[in-house]
Amino acid sequence: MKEKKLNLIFILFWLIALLLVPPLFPRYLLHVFIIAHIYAAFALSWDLLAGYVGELSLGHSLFFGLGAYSIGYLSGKFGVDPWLSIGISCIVTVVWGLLIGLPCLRLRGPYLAIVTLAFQMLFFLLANSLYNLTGGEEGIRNIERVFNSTESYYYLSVFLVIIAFIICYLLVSSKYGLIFRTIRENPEAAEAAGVNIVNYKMLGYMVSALIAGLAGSYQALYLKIATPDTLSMALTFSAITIVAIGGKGTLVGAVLGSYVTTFIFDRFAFLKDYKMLMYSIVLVLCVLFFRNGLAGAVKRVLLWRKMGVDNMPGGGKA
Amino acid sequence: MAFIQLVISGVLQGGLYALIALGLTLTLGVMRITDLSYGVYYTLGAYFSFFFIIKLGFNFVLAGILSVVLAFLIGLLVERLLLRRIISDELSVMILTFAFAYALEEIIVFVWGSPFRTLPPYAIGTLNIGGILLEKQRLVSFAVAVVLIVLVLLFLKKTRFGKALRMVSQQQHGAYLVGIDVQLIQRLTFAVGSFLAASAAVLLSPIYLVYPAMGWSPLLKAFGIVILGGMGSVKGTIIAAFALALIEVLSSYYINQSLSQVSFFVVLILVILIRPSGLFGNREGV
Amino acid sequence: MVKRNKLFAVAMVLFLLVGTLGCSSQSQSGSGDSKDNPKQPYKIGLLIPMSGDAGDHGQIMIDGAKIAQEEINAAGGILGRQVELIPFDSAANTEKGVTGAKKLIEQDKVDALVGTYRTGVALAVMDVAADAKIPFLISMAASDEIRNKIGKDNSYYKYVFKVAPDVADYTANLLPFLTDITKAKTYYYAAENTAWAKQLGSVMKKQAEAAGIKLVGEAYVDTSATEFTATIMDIKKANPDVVVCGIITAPGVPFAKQYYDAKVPVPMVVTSGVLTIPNTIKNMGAQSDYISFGLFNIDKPITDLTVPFWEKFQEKYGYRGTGFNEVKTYDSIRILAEAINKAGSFDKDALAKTLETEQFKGLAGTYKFDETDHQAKWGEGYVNGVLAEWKDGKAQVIWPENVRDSALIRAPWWK
Repeated sequence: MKEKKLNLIFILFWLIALLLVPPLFPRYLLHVFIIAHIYAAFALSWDLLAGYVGELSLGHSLFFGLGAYSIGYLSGKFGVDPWLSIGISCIVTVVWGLLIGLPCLRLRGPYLAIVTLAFQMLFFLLANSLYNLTGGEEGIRNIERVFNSTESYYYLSVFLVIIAFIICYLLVSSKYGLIFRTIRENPEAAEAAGVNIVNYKMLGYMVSALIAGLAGSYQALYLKIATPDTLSMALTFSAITIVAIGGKGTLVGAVLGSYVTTFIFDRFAFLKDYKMLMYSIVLVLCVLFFRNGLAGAVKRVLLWRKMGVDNMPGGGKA
Repeated sequence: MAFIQLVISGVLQGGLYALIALGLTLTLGVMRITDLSYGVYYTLGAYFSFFFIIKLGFNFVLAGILSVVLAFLIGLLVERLLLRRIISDELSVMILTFAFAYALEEIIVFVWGSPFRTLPPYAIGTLNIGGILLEKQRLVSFAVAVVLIVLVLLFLKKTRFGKALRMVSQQQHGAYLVGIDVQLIQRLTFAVGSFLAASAAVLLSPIYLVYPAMGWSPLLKAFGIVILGGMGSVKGTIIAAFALALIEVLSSYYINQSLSQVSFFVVLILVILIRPSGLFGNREGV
Repeated sequence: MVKRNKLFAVAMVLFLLVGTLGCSSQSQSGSGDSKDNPKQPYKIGLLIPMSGDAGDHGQIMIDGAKIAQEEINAAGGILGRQVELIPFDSAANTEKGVTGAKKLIEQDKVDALVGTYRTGVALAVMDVAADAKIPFLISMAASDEIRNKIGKDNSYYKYVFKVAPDVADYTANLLPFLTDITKAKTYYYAAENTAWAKQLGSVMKKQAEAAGIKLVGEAYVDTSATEFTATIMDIKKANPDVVVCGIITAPGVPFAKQYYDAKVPVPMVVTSGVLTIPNTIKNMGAQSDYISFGLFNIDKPITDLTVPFWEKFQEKYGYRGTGFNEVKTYDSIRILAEAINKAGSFDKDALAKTLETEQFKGLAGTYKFDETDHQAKWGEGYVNGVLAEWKDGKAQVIWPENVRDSALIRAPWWK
């Protein structure tokens, strides 16, 4: 049960650190933190699916974009209260999760991965082409400004990412987490034990969609605009990179990975064209040699004992 | 008349779709992995032939052969160095191949830059048969594609390697027990897949554009075709490729020109909803 | 295996930690205050895409900007202050664009912003610039939504000006092909299924109808389409006098190839995009012949700056400009410098006033901004474009008459 303690300590330290950020750092860095938190929440939702439910969502930015466009629509076009809009956009993403998940999760094989990818590319296409509906490349603007100071947006982003973390954490540490693990490791056994695999996968998928949508609608709220790049493949790719660097199936990894990549991205802006190349090579190397990511490495140091790779949560059979 | 013209265009397009999807079917059936980097070999094939034809001035036959051989060798290397280490972990394979596809795209940008490129056609001009227009370049590409597909089918039916390959795809464990080198078969199949993707690109690059992200759309189409035809079924894949090409061409003329892409997704979703095993799905074997 | 993995893990953690820490220390050292000090350089932040799907446009913008910087500095700078350019990769992405604007303003303390390629980025960055009261010259993003947004609240967007052409300017650039060159009565609009091309189509229709030219058919093809039999058959059926092509990304080339092979007896004119880039056209062979296209600039004496700039560009970088990205970036920086010099102070309100009232010479003509929506004006006497035609891989200027190489070269199969 050391893991549970570690996670609690992590949340505590994290919260304190986050509250110290505004007085200590220049204002521009607050913005970088906000972006890091949006990415962290999005990466958490991807990690929940890939690391625990055992399904890959290759078009995950679909939900991010749906969240962003929903709030754009509601607040930007119809003037609905932005807070209410966030709530409704979460419902919208969950419904879409349901629509895509139901046919795909019944099937074994890479169906979900391919279909989410196909949907993401379709929606990206439509967002660009249905000018009257989506604003095309310009996106949907005029989302109501809710705060005047960057600090307020910062605290809201802290709230968002902590909530996302706690939802994921509660889900995977409950009995559902255990069932997820069984489904992932041994679906036949789970089925034999009378577990309705589809229902459980559906639950995981919908929670994941919800968090991704929340992250997307928060970004739209903060930037006051929802554009097609919230639906882009590059966004999914950054979530995968973040989780691979941070450590798949650890949740903490998604958060750590997000800070590291966002700040490195911010610092290495001079790398220009080579940035994505560096990213993707780091990702390939992580998948091959660094399967447990930063979270795994940190945990190994903290637990201070020799641990085989196989004992790591979410670890593979290296 | 319009209908005949459209059907012919659709068939010409379908042959190339079939060539692209065939390699993916083989990899899926034999290796039981979801290779998301499949589009990379398509991109590489196009860039290699661009490099050989434009930069080095080779004639296009030599350039084409060199490109596909290079793609074959890269396929071998990738299987050995990257995939083999993690082949049993389905999720890791997908993440790795996705990342690899992205990385290669960036490497191509690094080496050749990101602007759009074109290749001159091998055959210029159009045949006019009773009012029906046939572009020579498309005819040539289609003919070569059909020859390649027939060769692959004969190879699967007649040769020892082909038989072993089918065996592995039907019963991996059984194949192992009767002494077939499963790893070798898988490696070669992967390389053949790369070869087929690259040859499709060699045939298509004088018609389309060459650019770093060109591989994603054929990757998705190929997956759609494979799902439509039934995972692992070669016959299903070929029929589905022609069906899809015809649907695209006909729907874009008779319904709406911007629908070609949407109709593809609609078909894909319907298949998954109604008949997830595809048109000819037996799930087991090539 | 396990051991090696561990070693790698430790190395990886160290690398990432050093990276992050190294960076945060760097952030504290960077500071630049004491504005208006003549010894301090005048910093211009360039928000341009250097990665992502518009990545290849970034370098050419920097190359254009550098020539402007050199020329201004050689002529004594902006009121004695040397110009310093600070580029940031916006990756044509809204979030990265806002991050870039915030970094440039809050950390690098730039005096002005220039750039943005995508309209979405421009719209988001406008707010950041307006909040910080930093002059922002939009150099490439074209949509009229930007102009509308400034027009609606022009005291808030007081320092935002749009050097980039408007949608209506893109079509006005093509219109002489229909009215003067071919004397067309009808036209067909073939475009891709994007918001941009649709906007272009509706504005084109208005302008053409005003000139008495009728739209007889439209086709919007998918951005990943590769097969255009249906479109070409539809064009033949509609039998227009001119085809206006708004396919500006990847499908443009296969479309043009099929159009050529099908020997459609109708001249085609395309708007700025994939078919107007010399590098793309280079290997198309004969299939690029007889395509006419609109351009915003070319190495002809449009103003007395134009030819020297194109020559300098070619000599310095060893490649030919595209007539858009480098030209608009150069013009934006030049306008900014000239306006401050004319205003005689670094006061932002004086700068805004000068920009609103004065005229500025650039490569593409004379810039005069609209007083309410800050859009650079288009047409005779202001900024104006050219029309050219591809023949044997070379762009032959066919309009306007005072700078043209030749009249329209007719394909043998045109009616």
